[in-house]
Amino acid sequence: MRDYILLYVNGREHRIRGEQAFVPITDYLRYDNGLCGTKVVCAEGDCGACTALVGHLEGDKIVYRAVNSCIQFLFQLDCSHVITVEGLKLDQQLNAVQQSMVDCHGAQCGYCTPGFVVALCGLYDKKKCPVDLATVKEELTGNLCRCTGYESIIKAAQEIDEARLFNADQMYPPQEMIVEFRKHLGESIEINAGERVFCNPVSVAEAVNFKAKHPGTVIVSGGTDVSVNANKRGINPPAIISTSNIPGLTEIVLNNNVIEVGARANLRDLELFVKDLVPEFYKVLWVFGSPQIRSAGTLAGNIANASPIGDTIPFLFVVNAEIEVTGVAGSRRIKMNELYTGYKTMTLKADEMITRTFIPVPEKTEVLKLYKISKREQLDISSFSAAINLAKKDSRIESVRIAYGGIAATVVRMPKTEDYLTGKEFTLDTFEQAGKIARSEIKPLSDVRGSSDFRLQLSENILLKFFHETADERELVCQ
Amino acid sequence: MSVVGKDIPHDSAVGHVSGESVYIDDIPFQKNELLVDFVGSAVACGKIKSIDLSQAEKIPGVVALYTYKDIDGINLFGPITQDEVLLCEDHVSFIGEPIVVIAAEHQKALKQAKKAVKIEIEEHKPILTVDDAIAQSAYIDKTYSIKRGDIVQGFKNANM
Repeated sequence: MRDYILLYVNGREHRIRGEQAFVPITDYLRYDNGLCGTKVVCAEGDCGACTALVGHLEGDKIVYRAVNSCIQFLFQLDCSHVITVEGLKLDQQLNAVQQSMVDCHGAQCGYCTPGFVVALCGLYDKKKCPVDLATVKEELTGNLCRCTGYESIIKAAQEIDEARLFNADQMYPPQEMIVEFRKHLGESIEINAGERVFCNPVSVAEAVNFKAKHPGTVIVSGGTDVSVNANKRGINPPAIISTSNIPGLTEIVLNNNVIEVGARANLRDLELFVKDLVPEFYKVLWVFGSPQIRSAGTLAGNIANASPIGDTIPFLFVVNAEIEVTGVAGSRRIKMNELYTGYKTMTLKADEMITRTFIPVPEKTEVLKLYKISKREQLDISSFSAAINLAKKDSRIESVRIAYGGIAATVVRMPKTEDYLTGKEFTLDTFEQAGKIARSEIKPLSDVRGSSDFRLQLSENILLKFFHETADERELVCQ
Repeated sequence: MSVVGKDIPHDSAVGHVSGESVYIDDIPFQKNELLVDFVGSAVACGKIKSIDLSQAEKIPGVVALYTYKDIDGINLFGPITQDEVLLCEDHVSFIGEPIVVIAAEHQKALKQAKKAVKIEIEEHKPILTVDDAIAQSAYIDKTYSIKRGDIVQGFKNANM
């Protein structure tokens, strides 16, 4: 049993013990190590100023991802290599991204600049020059700038001198780190600090035993919600488990037309996996937080967060997804449609944790549409969300499943609307009637993201939108 | 004309892209350095009924708490006309308007002290339209007028 976190920062080994394990790495970098290039602005993973590259051992390589370091606590980072903006120079020379940002006037006040530089280095660590405009824009959705303007930054991103581009392995030869990681990964960690305890188990069994012993344990993987609660609301769970060293939970595989997603698989990997398989789900994942958030966050985390506006949940409801939960007594399956009992509550027992999610790929005969309504396209919390999965036979609706988010304490199915639609002709009139029924079977709240009336109108309109988007020419002409 | 027509990089750009530029919060702590923050109004418009600093004063690490009464001089500032109060006296006119300034030895004390300051404010209806402002004679500053005068006399009197 270890009592420390092993971590490398810009190639140097660090061992973290006691209370220090419970602070964000940005505090550790800035106030304990004088590495102040990493800026903290929003402290909740929205602005990207704190972007750092975090590398983990995957197979025989260290794979780097750009993440928001303000919401990465040290306890999450065992056996990882963190590269900050200060660690990107090579032989005291600016790297190609840094030089291009200087040459193209990509920095003005300079406060967001380290975040942009690191995010772009993360992009060029994986991709070859030149990277197209769409990819650059997509990759930088998680970085906000309020003075330079994005044009010069995007120009800088596209005018990289390939000859001066170094990848992380060239700057930090990984061999020594890999040896140390292999030595440490098989050993559990427990860190006690005052009232708080942290466990880094090396198996699911060890995790659930710890969870059984410590009521109120919070499981952290990417930490994209838990860390925001710590930074912004001062919510610091008494007992924490990190899943980072549990093997066998990162796989995403297709088995008999069912996608199996391990609890630790990140949303970015899932997004790439479903891109062609379930394009509608890909679309939702694409607007799900920034690339930095998706590189850290997990599907299991989105499910366990149990929010009524969890972006993946309506989809999981209408494709009849299931989760595997594991406890001291073993594993069992729970249908997503039966998981939630109320606002942020679930049917999980105190010792259980989500270990896998099973997502049936919609049949060829089914038409799936997913909708997210929010004030801006990227990085926003939904006002309303919807998933509709419908099968037609000839001109009739054979079956339909509808789930709405943001209109009740949990994501909900719409049984009356579904009943009405089943067996009806696929016509505009049918969906107009269905909209009225949908409106009548919900009582949404008014809050900062939308009024009750707005949400009622959306619940009606989204069905019409579905009709217009999916009807073929003949069905449209029939109106 | 050494710079006209040339594409010259921002003189701080190298520091910005390498994370080496030093901003206020990047400067290492000095010996005896204190941290300063303030407690602002929780409402957009109202009258301050009472300010209780007694609990905040007791917090270890809190060095000083100030209200407008502690300002030994003028409690007004502004770029052209000095018409804005630095610390609220009895009226608040926006959420977050500073009322109490706190100095403390560390962040933890500062945070606790901010929570421990008790300010009671009687909430009033804010003035949100020009018509309401005119009706209540709530004007910004006074009326200034530009008049023609005697330029010759003006130059004669001027100290040149």
